[in-house]
Amino acid sequence: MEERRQKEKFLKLISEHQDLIRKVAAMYYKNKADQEDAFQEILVNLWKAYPTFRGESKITTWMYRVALNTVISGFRKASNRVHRNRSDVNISDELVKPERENVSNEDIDVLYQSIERLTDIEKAVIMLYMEEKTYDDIAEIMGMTRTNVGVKINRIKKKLQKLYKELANGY
Amino acid sequence: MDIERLKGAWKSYTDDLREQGSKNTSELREILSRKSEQSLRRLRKNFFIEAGINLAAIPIVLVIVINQFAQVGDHRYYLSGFLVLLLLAFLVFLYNSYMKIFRYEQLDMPLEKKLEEQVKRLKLFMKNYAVIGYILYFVVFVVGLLVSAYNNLTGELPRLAVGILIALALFFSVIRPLIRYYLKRLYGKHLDSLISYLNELQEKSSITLERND
Repeated sequence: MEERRQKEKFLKLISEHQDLIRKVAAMYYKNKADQEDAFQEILVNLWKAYPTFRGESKITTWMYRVALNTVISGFRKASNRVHRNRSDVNISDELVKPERENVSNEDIDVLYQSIERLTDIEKAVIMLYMEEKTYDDIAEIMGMTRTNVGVKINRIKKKLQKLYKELANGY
Repeated sequence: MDIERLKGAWKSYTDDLREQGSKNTSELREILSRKSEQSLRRLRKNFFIEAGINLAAIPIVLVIVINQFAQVGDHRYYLSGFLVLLLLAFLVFLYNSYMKIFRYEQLDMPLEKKLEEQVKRLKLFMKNYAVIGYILYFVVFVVGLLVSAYNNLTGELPRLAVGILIALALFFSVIRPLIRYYLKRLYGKHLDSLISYLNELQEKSSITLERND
């Protein structure tokens, strides 16, 4: 009875914050089927970890931790991830593109070309940054120091600026 | 394009994702019950593949020891029981390790701590797996040698010494590289990626250098 009540509470919580899971899945997996698979795996892991959630941190901080632990440290097939650092392929052929026409624009193309060039850790940091998380929140989720977060974000910004220059020059 | 425009693009894309696939609580409940079973099944499948090889070895050990070691009389039954027990102990070790390493626990740890834990457990598992493999190999080899010289142990000492030397040569040239290759092939890539993530999160020295620039 108690477990059932807990499950209902959990499902309500997830239903309110499911965008978070979807965003993590979208950041790491390039096609819809893999994203859905990752979504489901994160959901199961959130449920398994739910008894340990004591409300000491924000619910979204806890959810990001579990979600990122699932996609980064889990024993999953990594071949379907958004590839990175590959100069031997035509990047535009492998982009994760939105399937709806109204969001298909140049900025989103650039977004995915950017994601592709980042390491898995950088993806996590920049996603949290784009989600307007504070440096303290990012540090808590990632287990890094606040200084390390700042350095990492600056480094990613530089990396992206370099990429945009390359794109502008037609590379 | 600056980082603010990138944020805008990300928001636009993720808003679109929400419109495409928001799930209600009953859909989430259905996923939860179906997927929970699947993840455990996948975990067990990995274990059963390895366990299958060991289980297949048990009847082979029994047949060989009971049929070929007639010179040791009834001791062959104890011997075969001992070898089977060793294989079963190996299976128990495998099962426990699998559950510890790949079952999803401590998921709410900060990423760095979780990675440290994963790396530590996986390294320990690979080390123990290899050591147990080596022990099993030597036990089987030495038992085989001793049984073959059962009736005249002292007279057969030179042959036993040669046998041990052959066992050692085989160990270093075939068995050890084979077990290492097998472990590296199965878990090496995963371990390498975990270590590289961990290094990236812990790059204290490079950060210090950068701050000094």
